[in-house]
Amino acid sequence: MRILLVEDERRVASGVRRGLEAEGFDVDIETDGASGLARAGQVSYDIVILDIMLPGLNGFQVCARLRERGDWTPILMLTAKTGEYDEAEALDTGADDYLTKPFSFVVLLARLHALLRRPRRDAAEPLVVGDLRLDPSRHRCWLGTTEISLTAREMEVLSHLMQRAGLVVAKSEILADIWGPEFEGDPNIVEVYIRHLRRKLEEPSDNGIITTIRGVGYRLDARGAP
Amino acid sequence: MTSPRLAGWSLRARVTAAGLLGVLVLLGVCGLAVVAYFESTLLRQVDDGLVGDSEFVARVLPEVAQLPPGTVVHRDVLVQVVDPEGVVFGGSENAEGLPALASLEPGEDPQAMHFRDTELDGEPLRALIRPSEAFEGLQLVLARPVGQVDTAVAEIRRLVLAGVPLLSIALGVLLWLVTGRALRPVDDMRSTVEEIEASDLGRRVPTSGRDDEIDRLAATVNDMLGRLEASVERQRRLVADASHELRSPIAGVRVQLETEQTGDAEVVRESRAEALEDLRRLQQLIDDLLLLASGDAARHEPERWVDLDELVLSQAEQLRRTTSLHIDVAGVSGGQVYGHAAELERLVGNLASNAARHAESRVSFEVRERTDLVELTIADDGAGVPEADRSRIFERFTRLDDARDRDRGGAGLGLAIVADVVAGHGGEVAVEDAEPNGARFVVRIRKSKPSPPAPTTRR
Repeated sequence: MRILLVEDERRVASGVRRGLEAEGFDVDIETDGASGLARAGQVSYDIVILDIMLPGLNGFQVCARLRERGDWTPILMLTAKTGEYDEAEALDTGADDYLTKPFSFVVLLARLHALLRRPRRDAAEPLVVGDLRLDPSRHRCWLGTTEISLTAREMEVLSHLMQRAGLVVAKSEILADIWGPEFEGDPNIVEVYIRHLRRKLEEPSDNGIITTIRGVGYRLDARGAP
Repeated sequence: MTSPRLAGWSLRARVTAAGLLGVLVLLGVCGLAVVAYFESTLLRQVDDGLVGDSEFVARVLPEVAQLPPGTVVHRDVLVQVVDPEGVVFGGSENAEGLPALASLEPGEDPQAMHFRDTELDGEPLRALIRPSEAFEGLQLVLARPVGQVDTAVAEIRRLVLAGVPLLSIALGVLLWLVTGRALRPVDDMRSTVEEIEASDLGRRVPTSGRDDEIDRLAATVNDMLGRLEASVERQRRLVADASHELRSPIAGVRVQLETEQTGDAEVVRESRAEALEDLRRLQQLIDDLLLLASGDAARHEPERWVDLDELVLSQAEQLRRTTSLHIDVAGVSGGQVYGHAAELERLVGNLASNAARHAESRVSFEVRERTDLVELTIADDGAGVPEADRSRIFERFTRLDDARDRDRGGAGLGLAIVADVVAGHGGEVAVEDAEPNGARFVVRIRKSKPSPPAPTTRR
C-alpha cells in the first residue's frame, strides 16, 4: 500500500511516516502543494493524505485539481479548524474524509483502513434516476430543480439504492455495505435513514421514489414510475 | 423635525428656541386678536350710544328743529336735522354753524339707519343718520368724535407689541435655566461613565430618587454596569481557574521528559504514555476553553443537518481503540438534528470521554429519534453521580472528587461545554442512575427543521 503524505510540518510528517511504515505502508512525503500535485501525477497511490495549510497551492486547490483531471484516489484531508475552512468544504472539494489536527494516530489509522475498504469512485459522473440526481463527488443532490440537503450517510444510502435502481435491496445489504459487516448498532438505523430520505424528498410514506417491499427490503424507482 | 440648521444645537438650545418661538407666535397672535376685539367692541359701543342718543333726541324734538340749550345728550355728540340735499335745519348747540356732517347717499333707504365714518377739522367722527319721526322727509344726524377710541387702541397695540417679545424672552431665559438644571444629571451620568475603567467597574451613576425619566435612565445604566461587572468577573475567574489547569499538564509532561532515563524500557514506555495522556488532556482543555470563550456570539459554523448516530459511532470506535472498556452500541439507531456539527461533535466527545473516565468496565451508547426530538444516552458503570451534585457537575471547573478526577484526565470543563452546546441547540441534559450502578447522561435535542423541509443552500 502506497501513501502520499503532503504535509509541510516536518515533525508531524515524520511522525506519521514512522507510524504508517510500522503498519506496513510505504510512505512518500511532499512538503508543498505543487510538488504533491506533480508526484500524484507520476505515481499511483492508494491514498493521499493532504494537509490544508500548505505553502503555495493549498490543500483544497490540490484536491480540486486532482479531481479535475480525473484522479479519484481516496483523499484524507487534515483540517486546521481555523473556522474559515471547515469539514464541509473539504468534502465538497472532493476529499473522501477529513481529520482535524491535532489528531490521534490511532484514529488516523482507523480512517485510512476505512477508506481502503470503500469501493473507489472512479467516475465523476453523477447518478441519475428519473429526475433524481446525485453527485457524490460534490456532495450535492437534486430532485428536479430543487436541491436537497443530505448528510454524508444519507448520500451513501441513496447512492446505494440508486446504483440498484429498479431492484429490491435487502435492508441487511444496505447495512453491511454502508455501516460495515461488523456493525453492532441497532439495525433499525436503516429504516430511520430511509425515513429521513423520504421526508427530504418530500415523499409520501410509501410507494413514492422509495418503496418498501415488506419482509424483503427497499426499491428505488424514478419519480412518477408505476 | 429638526431643520438642518438646528441639527447642531444642543437639546437645551433647541428646547429654549422652540419655547421662545412658540410663545412669541402664540402670544403675538393672541395679543393682536385681543386688540382687534377691543377695537371692535369700543366702536360698537360708540355706535350703540349713537343709536340710544338718537332715540332720545327724536323724543325731544317733536316740533322744533332746535334742541333747547342744556339738553343733555352724551358729551361731544353733535346733533343735526338735515334734508336730503344737505341743508341743515337745526340741531344741537355744539353743532351750530357746521355743515351737514352726513347725508343720504343715492339709493339708500331713507327709513333706515346708516352709519358713516367722517371727519371734522381733521378729527375722525362716527355719524348716524336716521329718519326724523317728527319731520317728514328730514333726517337726524348724530355724530361723535372717535379719536379717543383710536388712541386707546393704538396704546394697547403698542403695549402688546412691546410686551409679547419681552415676555417671550423672559420665558426663554426661564426655559434655558430650567432645562440646564434638569439636564445636569444627564451630564453627570455621562462624565461618570466616561471615567469608569475596567478596574473600577464597581462604580455606579448617581440617582436622585425622584423616579422621573432621568432617574429611570440612571437606574438602567447602573443595571448595565452591574451586568458588565459580573461578566468581567466571570471571565477573570475563568482565566484564573484555567491558567492553573493549563499549567499542570505542561508541568507534568515537562518533568516526565526531563527526568526520563533511557534504560528500563518499561519505565520509559510508561512515562511516555503518561506524557501523552497529559498532552491529550491539555489539548482537550484548550479546545474546551476556546469554545467557551467564543461563547454564543461567534458561531462561525452555519447550521446544517447532523447525524448524531455518526458522531456516536465514531466516538465509540475511538474508545474501543484507546481503552479496554466494553463499548455497547446496540441501542444506536438513526438520529438527525439541525445544528452546528462541530459543537455537536464536541458534545458527544465530551460525554464519551467523561463516561470512559468513570467507567469500571463498560460504556453504552443509545441514539433514538422521537417525534420532535432526538434522544442520546451515554451510560457508564462507575460510581455514579450523587443526587445532590447532579446540577453542579455541569458548572465550570467543578469536580466531584478532585484528585481522582484529575488523574483520570478530567479538568472540569467537559460537562460545562456539554451544557452550553445543549442549551445552544434548544435541548436539555440530565444525569440519572444507571442500572445496576453508574451514571447515565440523557441529552434531548429538538430536531429543529427549518420551515421548508428542503433548503436550497448547501450547508
